[in-house]
Amino acid sequence: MGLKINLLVNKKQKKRPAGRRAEGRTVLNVSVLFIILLLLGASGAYAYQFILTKEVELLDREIIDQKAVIASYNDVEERKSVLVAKTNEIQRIYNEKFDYLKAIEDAQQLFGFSIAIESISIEKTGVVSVEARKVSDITFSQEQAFATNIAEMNLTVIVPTSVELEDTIDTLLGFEGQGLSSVIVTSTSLTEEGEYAVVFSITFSSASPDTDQQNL
Amino acid sequence: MNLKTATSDIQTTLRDYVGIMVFITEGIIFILLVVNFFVPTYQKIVALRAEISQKETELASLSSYANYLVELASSSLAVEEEIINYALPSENDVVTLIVTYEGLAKMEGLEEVSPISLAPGVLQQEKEAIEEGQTGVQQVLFAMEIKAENEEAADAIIQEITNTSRIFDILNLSWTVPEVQEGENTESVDLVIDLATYYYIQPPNIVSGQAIVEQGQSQIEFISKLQQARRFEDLILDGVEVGKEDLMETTSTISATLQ
Repeated sequence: MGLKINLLVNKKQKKRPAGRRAEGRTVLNVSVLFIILLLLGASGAYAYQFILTKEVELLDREIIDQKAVIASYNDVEERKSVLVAKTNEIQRIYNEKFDYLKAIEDAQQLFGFSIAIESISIEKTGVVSVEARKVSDITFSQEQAFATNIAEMNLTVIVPTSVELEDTIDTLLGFEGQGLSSVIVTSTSLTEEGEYAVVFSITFSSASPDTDQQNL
Repeated sequence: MNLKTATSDIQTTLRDYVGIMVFITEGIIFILLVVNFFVPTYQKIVALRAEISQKETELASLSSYANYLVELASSSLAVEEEIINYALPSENDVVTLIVTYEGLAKMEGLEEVSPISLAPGVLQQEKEAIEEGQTGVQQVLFAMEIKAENEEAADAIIQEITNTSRIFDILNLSWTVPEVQEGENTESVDLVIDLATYYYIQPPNIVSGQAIVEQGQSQIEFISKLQQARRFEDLILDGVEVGKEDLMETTSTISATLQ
């Protein structure tokens, strides 16, 4: 038994020294390589973090500088803020403007010059009052009628005879078309000159947006 | 002898497994290092990169805004103020109102224009409004009665009223073709125009800041259009006589004439 042990020991003792040294070197090399890699990785990571931190500090400094520049222009900022508020108000006023010229043109051309307009009164809300005298058979210009910024028209037509009065009422009440909401006879009366006056209330649903701002 | 053999066995076993033990130790060190150093460092780096990105955006915005303010101060602010303050003065400026009214009255094709008539107390209006704590846009009402030569002239004056530098806003318009008397112009048109002009009482604490000021950039086009609106100073206000034909002369022509 003891002999066997001795033999085994001798065998191992003969084989191991060279292999063990090689193994030892491998372990050492791998360990050194591993440590170097770890050190390199750690250093790289730390260096990158350091660079990023410095970049943040630099950006902070630049932000502070820019804020200082902006603070030094505080009066400009305030003056501009007032201007912005005022410009908003001016824009609002212009947007709310009513195109009176278009309303006058529409009122004149609405009946294709079959009535002679004596007076037109226009409110900013789009309510137009027209006083006119019939000069020929009333015709209705559909093209002009339905693309108007007039919301409501109170039309007074003066005619010389009762027959023409009836004819005028029939004609205007017969008008139909897209954009025209309603035509109502509000009143009829005899004028001091012995003529007849009929008042129509015409409402339009096609009131187009104001265009006065285009003048600017 | 047995003890020696046992010790030798342990040494042999240790020698056999020393490499593995070293690797295990290194593995543990690596894991500890990863957990305690690399992961936190990576997280810090990610956070720093996000912070840098956010700060770069902030810096770009601030730089752009600072440049805008510098440019505004050096060039366009004064011009913009001049245009806007003329259109909507910060006080009840009756002078530009009268100049604009008189300028309109001097237009060609107008036979008669009523003299400007402002409601009594219009100059007092601003003081009362301030006392009452009113702010923002204030309205000044007045009327203009015009006799135009013909429809074209009437159209032209309405068009001109909508395009004045000092805002004139038509509230109501009456267009009448007068009954023709013998010897009168058969084409004339009578206009009665109810008008409003405005002035602005600044609120005590007007909000200012980057968002509001930058809003102004979108208004530049409108302001440049407003700049094209009509002014009448040249038409209304004559040049001031200095009394010298040659400014280097020691005596003026007026004093010379007086003598």
